[in-house]
Order: sequence, then C-alpha cells, then structure tokens
Amino acid sequence: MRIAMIGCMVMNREISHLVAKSHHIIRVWWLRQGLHDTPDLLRTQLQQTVDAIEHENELLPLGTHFDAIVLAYGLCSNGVIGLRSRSLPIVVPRCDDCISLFLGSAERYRQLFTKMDGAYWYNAGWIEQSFTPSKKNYALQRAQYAEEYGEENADYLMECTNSWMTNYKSCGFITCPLGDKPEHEAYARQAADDFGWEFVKVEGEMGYLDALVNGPWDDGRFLTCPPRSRIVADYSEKKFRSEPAQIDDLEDCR
Amino acid sequence: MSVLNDISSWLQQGRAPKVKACVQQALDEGIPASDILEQGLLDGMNVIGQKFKNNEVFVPEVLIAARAMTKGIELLRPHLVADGVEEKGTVVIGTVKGDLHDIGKNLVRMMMEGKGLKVIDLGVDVPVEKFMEAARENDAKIIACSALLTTTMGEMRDIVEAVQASELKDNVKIMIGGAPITQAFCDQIGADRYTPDAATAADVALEICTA
Repeated sequence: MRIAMIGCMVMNREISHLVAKSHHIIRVWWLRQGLHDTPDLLRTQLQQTVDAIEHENELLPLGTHFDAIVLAYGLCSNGVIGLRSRSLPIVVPRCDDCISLFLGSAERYRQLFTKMDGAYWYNAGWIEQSFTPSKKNYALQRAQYAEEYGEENADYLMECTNSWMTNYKSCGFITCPLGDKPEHEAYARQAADDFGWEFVKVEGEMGYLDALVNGPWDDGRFLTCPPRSRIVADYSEKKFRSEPAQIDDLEDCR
Repeated sequence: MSVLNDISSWLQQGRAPKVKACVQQALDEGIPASDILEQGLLDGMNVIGQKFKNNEVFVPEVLIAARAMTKGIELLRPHLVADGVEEKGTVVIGTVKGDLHDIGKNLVRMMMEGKGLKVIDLGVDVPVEKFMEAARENDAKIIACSALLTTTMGEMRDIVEAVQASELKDNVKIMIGGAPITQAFCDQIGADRYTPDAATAADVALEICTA
C-alpha cells in the first residue's frame, strides 16, 4: 500500500522509525505539536493537509497513487471532528490523544487515568516538542506575562493559568521503546520534584503505533472514514464514526 | 460621566489598582453603586467579552480584566447591599470528576458574579453527588459543569441523568462548557444549555435566573 500519513511532531521519532521499516510506502506530512490547544486551528490545518494530499494524489504518476490517508491523531480536543475527504479513506485511531498511542492502547490509558488520579504525562516527544511544566519554562512564561501585561498582573496570571498544576498529583513518565536519552527521565524527575508530584515510570508500548503505521486497521481500534464522508463525534469509547458528507462540504474541500 | 469611562477603560486594560481607585472616586462623587457597576465595570467587561468572542484578545487579557472587575465589585458590594440590589439567583459551578483544570471555570465564575449572580464554586474533580448536594443546600437554579478533557466530558452525562432522576429536575437547569464540549454533545446528553465562552455563559445564566 501507499499511505499518506499526517503526523503530530510529538510522535516524530516513533513514527519515523516505523515508517522506515514498514512494508508499506509511506509519506508523512508533519504538523507542529500543541495544535490540540486550539482545536479549530488543528482541524483547519488537518483539513488543509488532507486537501493538499488529495490534490497532489491526482498529479502522481500512474501506479504511485495513495491508497489511504492515516492520521497520527486521536480525538485531540475534537480537532479531528468534521474532517472529510473526496477520494481517499481516512484512517484514525479510536483514542483521546497520543498518550493512548504511546501506552499501546486506549484501554490501558483509561485504566491508568483512573488508577493514577491526576497524572501529568511526560515522554521524549513531549519534552522535545512542547512547552512542558518546569521551573525554567515557568520563569520564561512569567517574564513574558510581565512584559505583555505588566508586573502587577504577572504573578496573578501565573497563578490563574497554572493552578491546575497544583491539582495534579503524579508525573507519569512514559519510556520510549526505541530508547530514551537519560536527560528526558531526569527532566521529568526534576519536574516531579519541583511541583511535588509523585514520579511514576510507565513502560511505553509500540503496538498501537505499529498498527497505525502498518495495519491492520481493525474497527475496534481504528475508524476508517470512507471517501465523501466526514468524521463525527460519537461520545462513546469508540470516539467517532463516519457519516456521508454534504455535497457543499465536499465542494469546500478545494 | 468621565470617571465611569475611566473605570471601563482601565478594566479593559486589566489594571486592577486603577479600577479600584476610580470606583472609590465614583463612590466619593456620589454616583449610585448600581450605575458604577453597570456603566463602569460591566461596560468594560462586556467590551472585553466581545473582543474575546471575536478572537481580538485572549485568555490572559480576559483574566486580568475579570480580576479588575472583581476588585471593583468588592468595593461596591456593601453599597449594593445597602441600596437593596438583590442577588439575582444562585449557580453551583465546578469542574467534573477526574478533571483538574479550572481556568475556564474560574473565568465563568467571575463573569457570573459580575452579572449579580451568587456563585458557589465547588472547585475541581467534583463528583455528581457533590453538585447535587450543593444545589439543594443553596437552592440553586443552575448547575454549571466544566470539562477540559475528552476523557472526562462523559461525566456530564452522569450529572444530567442524576438530576433528571431526582426532585431537582424541575428546579435546576444544567449548563455545560469547556474546550471539547459542543452543542451536539449537549443535545446528546440532554443538558439544558451549552455556551461556547465565559461571557455567553454569564448571559445565559442571568437569563435562566431571571426567567
């Protein structure tokens, strides 16, 4: 198969590794980590990428066309809801976000979510790609608030925007099965110390990511949204389903 | 009156000490507390709320404006009470069980207080029973639930079902909101109102309480 994959940079190392070894021929379009914080923007960028892939697919030489678009995204704050394609199926894993993919299954994530009672997750991808809580990052953030909103508001904004942190109780560090740099674990341990969280090391698992890249895309773990359909929210553990798209929607695609 | 314009303007800039000083000045000038609230504080907050809806300002601007409003209201409250301005209804608010995020919920609380509503804030990680108890104890007209995570938004369904199955169902409306929440989700779980932002939430809560 030839696969067009849209990947979040948080999974860059794992997916790149799997892509290199895959029996499929896979091209990856990468989007920056953190778009889940602005779900409408994530949805827009994903749709634009889907549209670009479909447009490009028409221009490819005979025999090199894509068979499917695969999203390395879960629900991600509903950022994938509403996506549609005109000519290619879209495959998307049935999970809330990348933590399920890093942990090997949505079920394992749900179990740990309940068991660990307020865990903030760290792993190599998050530490390398995003703004994760740390004393150093907070010093930078405070300086930015002071500059933009005045010294009198800086501490208040830090308190407001970071109060959730004091509610968390543990720091879940997910190991990378491909090997971790020692500084990643040290970074997570330091954050746990800084914020008074219990440090819990959890083994990462590549099975779900492997299935995402290589298949099979069984309906239990993946939605395959057919062409001329859109992804809609399901609000159950299945996360989403597909339904036929309106003709107007499809015209918007270009 | 220029001092009321000043209050509105400083509030929009999130300058709490300036807002307090101007509110005090307005009181000293003998301007009725309800006018200071409506034409000064709420006028400024409405501008910020509208700009936030239009993506012209972001969460930090709204937070510091709301803080300035709260500081102003603290000064006004004794005067409002003395003038016989009554609270317009009670809202019980909290972030649902399993969810520890409260920036949005706190913003909604401040906006509702700005509208003259009494708000009982249950904090984060609030189980269904606690919402119900607080609604009973405080004779609340609204239970307002917030969730940031798609992993926890399902809790709202349990709250709706519990309220529907209780004696509260005729007296209490359920409002829901938070980043992953949509009107479609609201319709599916049978909650009364979904609002997409804090300013709208406060408007809708006031509408429910004064209906």
